[in-house]
Amino acid sequence: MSLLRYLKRYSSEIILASFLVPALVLLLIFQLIPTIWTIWFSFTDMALIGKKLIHPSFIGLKNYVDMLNDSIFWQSMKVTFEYCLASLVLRFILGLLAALYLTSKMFRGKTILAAIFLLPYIIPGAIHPYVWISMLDTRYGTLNRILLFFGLTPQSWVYKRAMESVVMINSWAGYALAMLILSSAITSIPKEFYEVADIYGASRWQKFSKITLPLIKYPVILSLVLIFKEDIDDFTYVYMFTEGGPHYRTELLSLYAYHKAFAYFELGYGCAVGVIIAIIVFVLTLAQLKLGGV
Amino acid sequence: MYREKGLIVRVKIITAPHKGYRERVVTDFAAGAAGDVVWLGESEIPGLVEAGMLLDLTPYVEKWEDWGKFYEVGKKLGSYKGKVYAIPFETAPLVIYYRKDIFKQAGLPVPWQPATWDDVVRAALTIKEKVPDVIPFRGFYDVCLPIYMAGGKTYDPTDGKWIDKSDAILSAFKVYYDVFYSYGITPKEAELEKWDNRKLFQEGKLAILIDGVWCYIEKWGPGMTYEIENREDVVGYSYIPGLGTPGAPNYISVTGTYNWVINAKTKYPELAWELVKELSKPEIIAQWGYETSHIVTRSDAVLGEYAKEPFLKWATTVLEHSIPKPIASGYKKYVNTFKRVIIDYLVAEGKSPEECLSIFVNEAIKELGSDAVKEV
Amino acid sequence: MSDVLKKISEPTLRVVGYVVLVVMCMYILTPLLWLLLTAFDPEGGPYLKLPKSITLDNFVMLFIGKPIKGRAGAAHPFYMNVWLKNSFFIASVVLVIIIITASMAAYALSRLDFTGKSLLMTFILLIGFMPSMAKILPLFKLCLMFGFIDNLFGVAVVIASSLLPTQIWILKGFFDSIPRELEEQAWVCGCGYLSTLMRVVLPVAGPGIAVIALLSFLGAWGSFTIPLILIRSEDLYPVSLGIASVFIHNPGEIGLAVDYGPLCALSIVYALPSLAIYYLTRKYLMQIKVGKMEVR
Repeated sequence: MSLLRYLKRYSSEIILASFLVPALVLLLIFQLIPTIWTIWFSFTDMALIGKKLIHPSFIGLKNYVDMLNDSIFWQSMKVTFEYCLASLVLRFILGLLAALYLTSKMFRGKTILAAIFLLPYIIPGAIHPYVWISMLDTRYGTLNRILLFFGLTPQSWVYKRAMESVVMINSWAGYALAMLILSSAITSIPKEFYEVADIYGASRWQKFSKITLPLIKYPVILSLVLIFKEDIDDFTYVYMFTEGGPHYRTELLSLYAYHKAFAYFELGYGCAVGVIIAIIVFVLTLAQLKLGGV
Repeated sequence: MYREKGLIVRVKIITAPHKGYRERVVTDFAAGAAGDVVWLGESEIPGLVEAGMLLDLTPYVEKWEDWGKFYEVGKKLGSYKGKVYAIPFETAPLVIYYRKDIFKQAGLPVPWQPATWDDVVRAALTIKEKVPDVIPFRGFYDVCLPIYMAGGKTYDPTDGKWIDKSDAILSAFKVYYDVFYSYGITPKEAELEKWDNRKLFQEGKLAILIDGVWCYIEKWGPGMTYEIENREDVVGYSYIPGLGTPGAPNYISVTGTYNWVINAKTKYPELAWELVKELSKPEIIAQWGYETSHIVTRSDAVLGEYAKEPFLKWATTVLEHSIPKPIASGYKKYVNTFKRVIIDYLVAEGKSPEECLSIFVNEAIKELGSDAVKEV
Repeated sequence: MSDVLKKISEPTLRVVGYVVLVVMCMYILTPLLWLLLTAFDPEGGPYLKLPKSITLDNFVMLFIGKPIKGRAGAAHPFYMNVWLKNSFFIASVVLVIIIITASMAAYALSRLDFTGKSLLMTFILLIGFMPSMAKILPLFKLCLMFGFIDNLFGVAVVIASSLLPTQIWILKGFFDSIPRELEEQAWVCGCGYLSTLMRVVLPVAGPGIAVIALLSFLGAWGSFTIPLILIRSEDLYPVSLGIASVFIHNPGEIGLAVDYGPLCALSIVYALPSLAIYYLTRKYLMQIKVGKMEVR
C-alpha cells in the first residue's frame, strides 16, 4: 500500500527517470561489461595466444607489482604525462582560438574559415600518417624544405624531435574537438548580454572574461576532459612515427599496453596497464570536474 | 576428391585489411571465431599451436605427393616442434640491389656478385671516394641479418632458448659498427630518421641496398610509386654474401612466409584440407607471386607470367641460400631488443661492439627472462 | 593583460587577429597541400611535388572497382560506392540511436534532482574510459553472443555506445541552460514528459542537438577499430576499413606499396560528407535558439 502511494507520489519522477534506461542499458552492456572483464583479465596471466589463453591462472596483484618494478612502465608514465599536457594545452588553445574566429563579428569569410578549420578533423585518420610523412621527412619533407627556403637549418623531426613531432601532429588532428564544442557554446550565449555590456561601455576583454568565459565554463571543462581522454587513449601517431623510440622517449602508456597485449601477446599485463590508464583518467577527470565545480 | 564426386561446397570468403590483420586474426582465434581455413603469417604459428588452435597437418601432408615439391625453407617456416601446421603460399627473401650506373661511374665491375662482406664494404668505399654525393650502402632490412651472415643463430630450437651472446652476435655488432663508424658507408641519420631507401635508390642517390625481393616490382616496377624507367639497365641484383670468416655461409638470406592454416576447431577438416590443396595449386601460387612480386613456395610453380619475369626467376634461386626466421614465440621481443640496442646505443651513441654486446645481454635477460636466453 | 588589451584599438586588434589567423591556417593547410596535389596527380608519390599534369583518374578509379591504365600490380582495387554506402548506413543508425537515447537521458539528468546524481553523471562519463585496445577481446566475445559479427547494425550499436557518454554530457549542459518555465507551461497544458521533450525542449536545444549530431556522425564515420574487429565480409566494409585494405604493408614502413593518387582522392571524397553535415548543422548552430527564446 505504502509502495503504491510512494509510486503515485513520485510517478512523474519515475517516468522521467525511465528516460535514462535506454542509454544506461547500452552503456552497461557494451561499455561496463567489457571494462569489468578487462579488469578481471588484469588479475590473470592471460595471454592472447599460447597455453595461457586456454588456461590462464589467477595471479592476484602480480601484474601490478611487476609494473612497479618495470622501468619501461615508469618511463612511459613520464612520457605520457608530457605528451598529454603539451597536447592538452595546444589542442585547447588552438580550439578556443578557432572557435573565437568562427564566432567573432570581427572577422569575415566564416563559411570558408569553418571549412578550413574542420579539414584536419574530417579527413580519414588512416591517412594522417601519410600526410605527415610528406611533411616531416628529413630529406623530402615539406617542412624542412620550407626551413631551407628561409635559410634555416633543417631538423631531424622523426628522430631528434620525436616528441615535438607527435604533439604537433596530434594538435593538428585534434584541436577541432574543442573548437566544435566551444563555438556552439559561445553561439548559444544570448546576444542581449553583450548588448547590455556595450551599454555600460565594457571593453572587449571584459566582455570575454566577464561574460563569455563564465558562461562557457561547462563546455570548457568538458572539452578539457575529452581532449585528455582522447590523448591518453590514442597512440596512432607514436605507433606510426617513432614506435616508442628513441630510448622509449615516446612510448606512451597506451602504446605500451598495446605492445604488451598485441605485439607480445601478454594480455593480462597489457590489461593491467590499461586499468592504470583508466585510473589515471578517472582521478584526473574527477579533479578537473571538482576544480571546475561541475 | 569432392570434385570427382560432383559435390558443390560453398566457401564463405572473409577478408581483413592488411593493416590490423594480426590483431584481427589473433582476436578471432582467441574468441573461437576464426574461419576454417586461415591466411596466417609464420610468426603467429607457435602461439596458436601452443593454444591448440591449429590443426596438425602432418598426417595430411604425408599422404600428399605435392608436398615434396615445396621448398625446404617454407616447410620449416610452417612447422613447429617437428609437426607441420601450415602450407606456405608466398615467401620473400632479401637480396642485394645495386645501381649499375653508379658502379660504372665508380669504375666497378658490372655485373657484380660480392663473394664476401668485405667485397661489399670495398665497393661501398670505392663509391664513397669516387662518387661522393651518393650514399654508398644501406642495410639490412632484417636487423638480425648480420648474425646470419656470420653463420650464427638467434634461436636454438633444441632447447628453445634465445641466444644473447655468441661470436656471431659480436661479429654482427662489428658489422654495424663498420657500416656506421669505421668505414662510414651509411650516414647514421639515414638509420635514425628512417630515410626512404627505396626512393633514394630510385633517384640514384643510393648505390647498394639490401632489401626484400618485392621492391624490384612493387616499388620500382612500371606504374609503381618509385618507378625506375630503365630498370633493367640500372638495377642490378645479387646474392647476399657471408662474412667470409670460418663458419660463415657463402651466401645467405632470410625469409618468412604467409601460409594457409586450418583451424583445429573446424567441423570439416577433410573439406578444409581439400580447400587448402586447391588454393596451393602451382598456377595459383605463381599468379599470386607474379602479381604481388613475392616468391613462390613450390618448385613446380615457376610457370606462366611468373617464369617470364627474369627477376622473379632469378629471385627464386635465392631460396636455396635462405634460412627461415625462427619459429618460436618471443621472436618479436628478441628482434625488438636487438634493434633497440643497434639503434639507440650503437648508431645513436656510437657505443663499441663489445659494449653493445653486454648491453644486449642485459636487455635480453630483462625482456625475455634469464631462463629463456643462453650464451653460445 | 586586460589593461594592455584595453589600450589596443580595434583596428590593431584586427590586424593581430588576422596575422594569427594566417599562421594558424598555414599550420592547418600546409600538410594538406600534399593531399590535394597528389589527388590530381597521375604520378603522385609520398612527398610534395607539383604535378606535371592534372587528372581525374584517381577519382574515377575509386568507383570503377579496378585499376586503370598502366597502374597494374599490387594495388588493391577500390570499391568506394560500396564502402560509402556502408559508412552511411552505420553513421545514420548511430545518429538515430544517439539522438534518441542521449536526449532522453540528458533531459532526465537535467530535470531530475536526486542524491547521487553527480555520481551517476561521473559514472556515465567514466564508463568508457578503459582504453579501447584493452577491451577488444571482451567486446568481441560479447558481440559474438549478440550475433553482432559481420552485422552493420551491430557495429553501429557498439559505436553508439562508445560515443554515448560524451554526447549525454554535452547535451545535459545545453538542457541545463534552457529555462524551465517553458516546460512548466507545457505541463500545465497537460503534456507528458515525452511530448514536452519533443515539442518544447528539443526545438530550443538546437545547437546542442546539432553538436551531438555532428560529433556522433564524425565519430561513426571515422571509426576503425570496432568495424575492423566485427566486420568480416568485404562487401560490408565501411570506408575506414576500405582505406586500410588498400595498404599492402603496415604503416610506419615508409615507402609503402600504396597507390598514393587514389588514396588522396579517397580522402577528399571521404571528407565531403562530414563537411556537408557540418554545414547542415552549422546553419542551425548559428540560429542562437536560446537567445531568441528569452526575447519571446
